Amino acid sequence: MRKFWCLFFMFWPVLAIWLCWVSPANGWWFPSIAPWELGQQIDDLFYLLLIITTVVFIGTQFALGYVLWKGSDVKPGRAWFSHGSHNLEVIWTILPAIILLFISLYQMDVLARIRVMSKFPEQASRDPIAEVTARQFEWRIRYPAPGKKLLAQPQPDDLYTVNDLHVPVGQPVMIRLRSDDVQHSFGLPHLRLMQDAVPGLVIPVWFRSNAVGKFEIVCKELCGWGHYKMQGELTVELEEDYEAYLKALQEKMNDDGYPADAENAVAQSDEE
Amino acid sequence: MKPRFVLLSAASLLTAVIAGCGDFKSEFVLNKTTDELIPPAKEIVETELHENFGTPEELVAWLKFPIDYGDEESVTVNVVGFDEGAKGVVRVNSEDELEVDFEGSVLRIGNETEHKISSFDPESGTLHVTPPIEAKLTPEDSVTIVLKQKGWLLKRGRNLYMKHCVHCHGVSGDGNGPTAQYLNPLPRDYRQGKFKFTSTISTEKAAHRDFRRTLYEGIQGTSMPSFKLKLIGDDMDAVIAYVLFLSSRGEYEIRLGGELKVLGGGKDDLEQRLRNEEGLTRAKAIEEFESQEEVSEGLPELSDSVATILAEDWARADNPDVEVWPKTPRPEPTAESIARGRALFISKDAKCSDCHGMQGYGNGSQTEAYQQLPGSTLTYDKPGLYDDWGEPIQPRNLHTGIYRGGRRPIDLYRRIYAGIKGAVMPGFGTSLTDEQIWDLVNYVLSLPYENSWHGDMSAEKTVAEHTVK
Repeated sequence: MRKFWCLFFMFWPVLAIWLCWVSPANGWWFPSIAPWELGQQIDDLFYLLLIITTVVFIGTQFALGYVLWKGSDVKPGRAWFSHGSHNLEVIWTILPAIILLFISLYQMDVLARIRVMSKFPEQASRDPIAEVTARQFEWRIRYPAPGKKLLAQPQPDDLYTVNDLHVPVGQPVMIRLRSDDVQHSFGLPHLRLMQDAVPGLVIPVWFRSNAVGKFEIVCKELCGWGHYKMQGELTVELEEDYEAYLKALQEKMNDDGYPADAENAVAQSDEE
Repeated sequence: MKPRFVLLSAASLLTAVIAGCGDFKSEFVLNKTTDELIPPAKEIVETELHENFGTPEELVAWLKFPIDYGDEESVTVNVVGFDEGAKGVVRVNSEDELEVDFEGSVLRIGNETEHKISSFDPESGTLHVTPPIEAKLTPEDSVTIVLKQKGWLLKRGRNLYMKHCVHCHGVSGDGNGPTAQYLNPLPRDYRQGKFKFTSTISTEKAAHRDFRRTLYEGIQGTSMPSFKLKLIGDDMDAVIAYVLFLSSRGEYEIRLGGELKVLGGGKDDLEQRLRNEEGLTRAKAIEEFESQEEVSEGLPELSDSVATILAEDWARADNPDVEVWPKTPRPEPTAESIARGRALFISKDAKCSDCHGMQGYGNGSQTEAYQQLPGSTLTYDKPGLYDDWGEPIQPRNLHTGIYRGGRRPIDLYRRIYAGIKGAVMPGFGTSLTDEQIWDLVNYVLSLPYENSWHGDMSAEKTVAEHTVK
């Protein structure tokens, strides 16, 4: 029983080493390879943090295990009292500080490219593609009419949809992110992107996907009892498909129900 | 570890399990209209509801209603192997991929015996069934696997409703779930059978497609979100079936209660009679009520006729004849069309401005007048407009650019043509021409942009700054 706790605490670092070793190859960390270079750089940052924390975790766990193992043999006589070591404390304060400083400097470039608008690709920041408004519990999306620019103020010919964001492939695109009620977070797990939507703010978010496909949009901030309902879909498609989508959406937005569906037109003429 | 510590933690864990994960039973609650009935009448309504609609756990599908409860889906397969030693195990030829829905899948032999399927391995085609099969099965025999039992759609709808909808709309569909109290506007109470945003004429109920559209698009400006990615495939139909079930149940309750009230089953009416009629005792009055033909032997007939009328109402809503379609296309929203719409908006014919205000801000004179209570000469305690559920409502401020029933021109046309059911907004389909309605649509659609510059916002900025100076 004395050795139990020692073995118990030793089990976890062993499990951690095994998990860290096999996870990347099995795709357990991330949903898929990020389809753009910034996403991949974010993954690299994650792995860097993972390596650092794994090393620290394993080190501390083994130290704990060693102490427990040694302490399990009860020796006769009085316990030895220690008041700590000044040198040790200096080391374990300065060392993590250096590591943290290194991490913060190392990630600065990637962070700036994602967050700082002046570093955005000019093509994206010039013409935002859509306005995404988070609200409990859905994503409302406003596009400009085909061939027009998205303006801050809604325009009569704007196109509206819900939970369905379409963007062209391979192009940097920027959305204007807003919130109608509480704090939400616009999350694109496949693109490793996440940005809080804050009431009262319009936050620019840019990304690019070099792969065509459908990706999930999730809310990454617990926003209320229907948080799980905030599921959207990002469709990355070829330029011409994207344009066709906007055209179809425009047609839908301008639907005046005339002429009525063939079936209903018959019913209507019977009525007259 | 000390035994006492182990005991203590085990006890606290047990308490947590019992308190936290207790057996929660959901039950349909009675409408307050039923509480206004005398005890025997109330009992009749309760019994009829229970017999015809069941409980949330044990649903009863009343086939009279035009609801798709889900038909049986089954396949007939050949037996490959049957071990007489283990009579509960059958191997079938499963070249097709069978999707067995375990919530009540059965194996049927001939037309008689049914065996519940407890497990199915699609690769080997091995089925485990209970109770064991008594007859001897040979490879020439064929058996029927019921993949989906009758009523599966309603059951699935119930399960999905309990997951996604119940916290606002409530177990009984009364719009009184636990989160409802925090919402404005309140979640829809289905029990009157009224749904606001429909594509049908003003006298008809909502069509199936209207439920689908509301679930798909959500209702902007309210707390109803879009479920287009949460309810896919059959799931949306399942939820619609269950909402229709709850709505039919609720309205049946109200209508049956109404019939019983006419027959003397109302509490208030009884009290009034007791005050006015000399020599009438409570017991005598109740006996009088119970001895009526309609309430005794004729009760099944009464109940049936209430349901028949209700079912016909619902069936008519899906008839293409009652769908609203414009007879002319929408004209371009020119300044002239908008001006005509504006003139109509404030005219005596349409009276839009009475509620929506002269400028369309939703602040018309009616919002400050005392409105009459329905079916009474009294007025509400507070001024303003009320909907059919007795809740205060605001006429829409047309400048916000939020359109609850949809923002397509056809949606606005339908709102004006058929009105908003259950709300104060009347239908103008008979009083206005198509051209007039389209002018109004054009005017309403122009309102959010009335006071703003179109196009490049930098222009507005300079103007605004200029004005401030």
